[in-house]
Amino acid sequence: MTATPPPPPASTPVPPKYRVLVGIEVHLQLRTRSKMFCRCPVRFGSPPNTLTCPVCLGMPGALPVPNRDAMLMALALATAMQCELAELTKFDRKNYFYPDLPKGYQISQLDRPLGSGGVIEIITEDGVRPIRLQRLHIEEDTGKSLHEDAGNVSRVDLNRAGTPLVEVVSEPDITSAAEARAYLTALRALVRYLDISDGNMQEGNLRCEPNINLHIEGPGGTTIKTPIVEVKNVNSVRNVGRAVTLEVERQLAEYAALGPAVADGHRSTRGYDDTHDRTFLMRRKEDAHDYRYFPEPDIPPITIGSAWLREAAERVPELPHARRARFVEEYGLSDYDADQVCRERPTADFFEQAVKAGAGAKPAANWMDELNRHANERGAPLDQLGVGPERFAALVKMVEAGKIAHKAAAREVLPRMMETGEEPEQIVDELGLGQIDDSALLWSAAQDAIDQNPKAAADFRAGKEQALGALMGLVMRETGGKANPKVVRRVLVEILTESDPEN
Amino acid sequence: MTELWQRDARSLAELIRTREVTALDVAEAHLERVLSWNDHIEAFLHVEPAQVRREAREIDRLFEAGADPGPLAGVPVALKDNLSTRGAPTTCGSRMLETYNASWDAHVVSRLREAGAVLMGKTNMDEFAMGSSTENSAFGPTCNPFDRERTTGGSSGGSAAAVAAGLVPLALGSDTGGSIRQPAAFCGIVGMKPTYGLVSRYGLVAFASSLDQIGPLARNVADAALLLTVIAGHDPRDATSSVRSVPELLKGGTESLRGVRIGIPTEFFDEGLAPEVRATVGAAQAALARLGAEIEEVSLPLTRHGIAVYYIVAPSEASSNLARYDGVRYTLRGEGRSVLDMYVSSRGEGFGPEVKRRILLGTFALSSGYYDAYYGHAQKVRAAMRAEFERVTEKVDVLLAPTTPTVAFRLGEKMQDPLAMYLNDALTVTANLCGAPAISLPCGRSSDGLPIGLQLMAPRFGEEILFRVAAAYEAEAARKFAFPPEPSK
Ligand SMILES: [Zn+2]
Repeated sequence: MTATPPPPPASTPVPPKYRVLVGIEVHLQLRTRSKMFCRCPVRFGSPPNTLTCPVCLGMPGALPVPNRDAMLMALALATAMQCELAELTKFDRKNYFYPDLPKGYQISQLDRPLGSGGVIEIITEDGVRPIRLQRLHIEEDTGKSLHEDAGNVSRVDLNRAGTPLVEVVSEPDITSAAEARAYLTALRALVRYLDISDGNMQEGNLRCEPNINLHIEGPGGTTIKTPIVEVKNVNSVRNVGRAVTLEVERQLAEYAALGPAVADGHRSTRGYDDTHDRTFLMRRKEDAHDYRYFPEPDIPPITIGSAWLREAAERVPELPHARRARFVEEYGLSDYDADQVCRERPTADFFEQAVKAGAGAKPAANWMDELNRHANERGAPLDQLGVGPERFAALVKMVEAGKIAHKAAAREVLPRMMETGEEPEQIVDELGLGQIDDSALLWSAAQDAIDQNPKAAADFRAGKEQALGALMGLVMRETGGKANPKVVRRVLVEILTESDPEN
Repeated sequence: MTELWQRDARSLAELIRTREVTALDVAEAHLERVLSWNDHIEAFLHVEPAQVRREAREIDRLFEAGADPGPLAGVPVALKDNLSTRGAPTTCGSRMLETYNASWDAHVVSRLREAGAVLMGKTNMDEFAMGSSTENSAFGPTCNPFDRERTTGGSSGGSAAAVAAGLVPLALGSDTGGSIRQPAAFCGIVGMKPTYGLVSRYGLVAFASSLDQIGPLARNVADAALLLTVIAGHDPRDATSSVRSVPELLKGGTESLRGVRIGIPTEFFDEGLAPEVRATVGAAQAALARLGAEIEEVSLPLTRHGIAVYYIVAPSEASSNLARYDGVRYTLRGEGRSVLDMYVSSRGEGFGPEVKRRILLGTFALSSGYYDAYYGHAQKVRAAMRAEFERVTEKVDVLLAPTTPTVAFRLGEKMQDPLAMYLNDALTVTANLCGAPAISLPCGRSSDGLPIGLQLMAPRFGEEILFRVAAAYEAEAARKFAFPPEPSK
C-alpha cells in the first residue's frame, strides 16, 4: 500500500516584517553674492562661461580664497540645527577627473567639517519627530557638461563652478516616504528662514540623495540588512517619497527572490527616472572612485573664534518650530493653522505684523493662503504685493466688524488694493460695498427674500439670471428703496452662491 | 670702463634715475648680451625685443614727464617661466603649456611692473619646476655659463644662468626644495628663498603648494634684498600670504656681527660632502667668526629624513596640482574617442618622464590604504622637523651650511639615476619643509673654477638677520663677482 503524501500547505507568502532606514544627503547652494573661492557673481541663467575668472576656470597659478559670507551662512545653518561647531575647521581636496571640474579636484571638507551632529525636527501626521544629523560641511559646486544629441560634441559651462554648497548628511533615522518628504520640507523651510538659500529643487539649488535600505526580520529572529542604495537625480520633494517607495518595493522583491543572501550584495548607486517613475542602476560599489583626499594646502586651517560664532548666531532668527509653538500659545492658533502660517518665513512675518496692526489672529491666518495665491500668480514676494500688513489688517478688521463680507473683501477689495494702492475704506465706498454699513438689516432682508421665494432662488441657481429680479424687488421694498441696487444684487448673489446646496 | 650689463641693479637704477643713461640704453645693452649668449646657454625661452624696448621707452617717457616710475625703474628683470605674465607665454618648460599665454599677471609680476622694472623675458626651467638640473625642460637644458658641459642646477636654472652671464642683473625664480638656491650656488650668484607666506604665490604655477616660494636671484646681496622688498608683502588673493609687514632689509651701517649667534648643524656636513665644498664653507665660517659672530655646533637630527619627507609631500601635492592639465581647456590636447582616451593621450604627450614619475609617486602616496603610511606619516615627520628647527633657531640666529654637497655636475650625469638627482636637494629641502627663509651666497671656487655656495637659514620671518649676516659676509670676503669668459664664436 502506498501512502499518498499530504498535499503541500497552501503557500500564501507572508510579507516579512521590516524596518525602512533612510539617510539623506542634501546639497544646498548658498545665496552668496560671490562664489566660494573667487569673486565671480553667483547667478543663474547667464550666457555660458561669462561668470568666470582664473580661479574658477582652474587656470595655472590661480589660488582659492574662502568666502567669509559663505562660511557665516553655513555656520548659521549649523547653529540653527544645533550641530556641534568645529573650533578648527579645514578644507580638503577631493581628486577626480571630469570635464566640468576644472582643477581636477573639488575643494571640500573631509575630517574637520564645520558642524557635527545636530537635529532637524520634522512634522508628519504622527506629530513632531527629531531626525539626527551626521555632519554639515562646505564645498564648491562643479560646472555643467552639456552633451549634444547630434555629433560627438560636449560643451562645458563653468558659470556654476565654484558656487558655494553646504552638504547636510542625516543619520538613517527616516523611516518612510512621508518622513523623507517631511525632512526635505523642514530643511527647506529652515534655509529659507535663515535666508541663505532659495532651496529650490527644480532649479537645482537644493539637491538630495537618499540612501535607502531595509532591516528585514529573517528566519529565527535574525536581521537581514539589504545593501544600501543611494538614489540620484531626485528633483522634487514628491520624488524623494517616490524614490523611497520604489526602493522599498524593489529591495523587498530582491529579498523575496534571494532570501537572506540579499545581504551579501554591495552598495550601489541608482538613478531616479522621473518620466517612467522607476530607479535604474548607475554604478556598483566596485566602480567607486578613490578620491585621494588630502588637506588643501592653499587654504590654511580656520579657527572659528567667538566673533564668528556671535555673527553666525545673530543671523539665526526665530526658527519654524519655535515660532509655531509661540503662535499657538500667543495667538491661540490651532496647530494646523500655526504650521501653515509658519512654513515660510515671509508668511509668518506678514501674519505677525498684521496681527500687531490690529487684525484678528484667526481670520488673518485664514487670509494667508489667499495672499500667497496672489503672490504666486504675480511671481512676486509677499512683501511686494502693494498691500502691506497694516493696510491688510485694516481690511481684515472691516470684515470682522461686519462692514463687508469676507467674500467681497477677497474678490473685490483686495485685488483692487493691490492694483491701485487705495485704502480699503475708499474702495468699499467707491464700489458701494460700504452701504452694507447699516446692513445687518440689508443682509437679513436679502435672506428673508430668499426664504420667502424658494422658487426664485432655485431658478437663479439653475441659471436663470432674471429670477434675481423678483428677489431684488422684495429687498428694495423691504428697505424702502434706500439700498443701492448694485449692492443688493451683490449680496443676493453672494448668499445664493454661498449656500448653494450643489456646491 | 664698466659696461652697462656688468652693473648691478642698484647702480643701473641710479644711472637711469639721474638720467645719465636711458632705460632704453640699458635695455639695448642687455638685449645685446642675450643675443650673444642665449644660443650658447639657453637661459631664456622667450624674449620679445620689441616689447622690451617698448617698456624701456615708456620708463624714459615717465621720467621725462617728471614722474617717478618706481624703485626698479628701467632695470631689466628676467622671470622664470612658471610666473604668469600677461600676453607672454608661460610654458613651465612643458609641452603641455607650449601654446599657453596667460591673460593676467602673477602678483610678483604686477609688483615688478609697478616698480618700473623692464621685463626681459621668460627663463628656462625643469618642467613644472621638477628637477635639479634644468635638464627636464621640454625645450632642452640650460648650460652653466662657467662650464657649458655642466648643468646650472635647477629648477630655476635659466634665471640663474641669465644673471650669472650678465643677461640681466636680476631674475625671479621659485624654490620648492632648493630650486633657487641650488642653481644660484652652481652659477656663483646670490639666490634667496623667502619665508613661506612672505611673497604671494598668486600666479605662480603650482608645483607643491605648501613648499613653493618665489624669490630673487642677483649678483650681490643688496640687489637680492632690493628685489625681495619689491615683491614681498600681503596679497589677499593668496590665503597663505602673511599679513605681517615686510621687514626693512639692509638698513646699512655696521658690518660687525658681534653678538650674532651662528649655528653649524652637524647633519649638513656628512660624508657625502665634497672635500672642496667642506673646506670652502669652513673658510666662510671662519670669516664670519672674524666679524665677531659666535659660532656653535647644533644638531637637527630629523633633517636626515628631509629627502624622504620631501619626496612624498611634494609629489603628492603635485599629483593634484597638475590634474588641471587635462586637455579640456588651455593645454595641449591629444586625440581620443572618449573623454578618458583624450585625457590619457593629452597627459601622455604633454608631460615629460620626470613629471609623470612624480605624478605616479604622489597618486600612490595619497591613495586609499596608503595615505596613512605615506602622506599622513610624512606630514607628522614634517611637523616634528619644524618644531625641531624652531627649537634650535631659538638658541642661534642663523644656521650655516653648504647649499649643495658638490659643485655643478655634468649634463647627463644624473639623468638615468633619479635618486642621485633627488639627493642633490638634501641640504636645501629643510628650509622648505620648515617654511624658513634661506639664502645661498657664492663663497669660493673649486679647483676647476666652479662656484661653491654658502647657505644661511633663519627662523621664519627672520629675513632681516639673514640679509644682515649675508651682507656682512659678502663685504668681509670682498669677493667681486667675476663674469664667465665670453663664449667663443
Ligand atoms: Zn571666478
